[in-house]
Amino acid sequence: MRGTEVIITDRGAIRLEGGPVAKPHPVEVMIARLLDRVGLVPQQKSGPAVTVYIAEELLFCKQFSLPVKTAGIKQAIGYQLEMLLPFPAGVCFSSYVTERRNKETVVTLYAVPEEVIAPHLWELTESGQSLAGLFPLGQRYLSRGQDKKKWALLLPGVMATLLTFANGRLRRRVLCPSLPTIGEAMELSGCETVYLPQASEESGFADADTLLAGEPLGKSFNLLPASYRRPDYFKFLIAGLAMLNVLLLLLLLGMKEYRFHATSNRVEAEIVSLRPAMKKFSALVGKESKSRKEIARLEEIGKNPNLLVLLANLTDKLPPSAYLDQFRMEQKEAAILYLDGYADDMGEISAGLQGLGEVRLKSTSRRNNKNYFQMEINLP
Amino acid sequence: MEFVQRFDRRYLLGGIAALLLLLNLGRLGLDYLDSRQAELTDRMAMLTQYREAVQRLPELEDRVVLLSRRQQRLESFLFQGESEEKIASAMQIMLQTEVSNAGLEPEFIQPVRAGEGGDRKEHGEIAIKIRMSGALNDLGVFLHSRYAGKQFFRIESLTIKPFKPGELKISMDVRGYYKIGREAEKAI
Repeated sequence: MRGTEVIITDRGAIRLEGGPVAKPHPVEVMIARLLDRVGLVPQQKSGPAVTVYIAEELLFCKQFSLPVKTAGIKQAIGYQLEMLLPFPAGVCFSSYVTERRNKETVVTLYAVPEEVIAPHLWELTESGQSLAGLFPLGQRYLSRGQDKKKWALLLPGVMATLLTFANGRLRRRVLCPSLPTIGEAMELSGCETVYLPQASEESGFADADTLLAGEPLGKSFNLLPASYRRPDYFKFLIAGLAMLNVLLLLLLLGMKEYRFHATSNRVEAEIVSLRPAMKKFSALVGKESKSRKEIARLEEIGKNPNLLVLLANLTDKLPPSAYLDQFRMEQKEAAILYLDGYADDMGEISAGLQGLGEVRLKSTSRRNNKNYFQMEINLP
Repeated sequence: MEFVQRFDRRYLLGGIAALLLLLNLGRLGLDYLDSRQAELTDRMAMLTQYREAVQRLPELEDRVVLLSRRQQRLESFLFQGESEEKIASAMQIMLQTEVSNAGLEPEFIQPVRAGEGGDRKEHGEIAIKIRMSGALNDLGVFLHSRYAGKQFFRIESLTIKPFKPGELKISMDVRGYYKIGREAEKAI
């Protein structure tokens, strides 16, 4: 993503040749071209990207603690910058990283006078290249293979610099008056692995050039002021997409809400218009149910047996010799006729009354030379 | 753990809180939309019921008219009056008249009511005990007049015993049905 890399040393700018140069993403290129065409960015800022690294010996670095929360750290550092820097704060490029440790905030501050760097940056921008970042050289050695380990990097120079990294972050920076041996470096850094550029096998150091083979991951301490920075098209793209998504979401919600209200209003209006008819329907259903119950109740009462016909039939069918002491008819679930009396011939009377219904002779007795009977007839 | 340590704890917690807030807001929003949709579905189901009911309204109206006519015809056989007491009296007078007109000698005609006062039911029944004497032909005349009458008495029991030559003792339990209504004065 950063493109060409340039290292600025006390001897001038050194362009890295043959190193892994990340190409710009096609989308980024496309957006850059599009912005160029509509004239939203100056021509010179959309040229090939270059990442600039500054030799550690040119940088002023200070690590200190502040008893403040991270929220107010920017203001606190702003107040102390003049006191901390050995050169005027207004004419330098600076960057810092904070880290919470217990109840204090550890600040690592990098700064470089503008006069040291500005000519190189001017030269690069004049040649049509866009600046992707301005980092301390130590950040160039951060690669994917080392980001979660604790390790040290010894950078030689007028003043050798020993950098200790852990979890991809700079933990400690020590300036050494002379180049330390591997043992001294391990003791100073507390790491088992210490990298040194162009280290020989006999020295005991690991070769730091192997770290340059991977894509650079270090993005901390970007000293490049905003006026020099290449526009971050991905940020624009992501922001645009986020806005578009929010707008689409609002649009969808609006459409859904409109459809819901339209349907709801239509349903409600129709319900209101049908309500009088529905009330009438409910009343009629109640009336129907009540009528059915009442009709069923009245029909359960039943009807009377035709006693006139019964008495006439009984008169016809009883033999002339028969005499009834009592005629009793009871109607409960069915009509039952009880006859008490006497007759000369019981067989004749039973046969004669069969036509009236189911005849049962309950008892017979003979008294005073007469056959007394009690008979039960289930009327149809 | 190393991955977590790479971030500032404040930002990490803030990010988690923001994510949880977003998820909760999303869940609340979805619940709100679901409940509204469910409410609309209920209203639409109600509308469908209304439409079906309104469609069946003419058919129901015809059915209710027929049932009402049938009910009125059946109720025309009932006694109607303002109160149970008045109806019982009317029943008693009617039976007394019919018994006398038939040539029978009434001994007593006694309504048996479940209780005085109490609930004023729209419909009810009154049992009446009748004791009388007379000839079999007179009983036939009485029964004929009863069957021919508009108001209905259910004959629950009938006992006939010989008393004197040509004369019978007759016991009859009947049950009359009534409806208490405003048209009582006209009916009785």
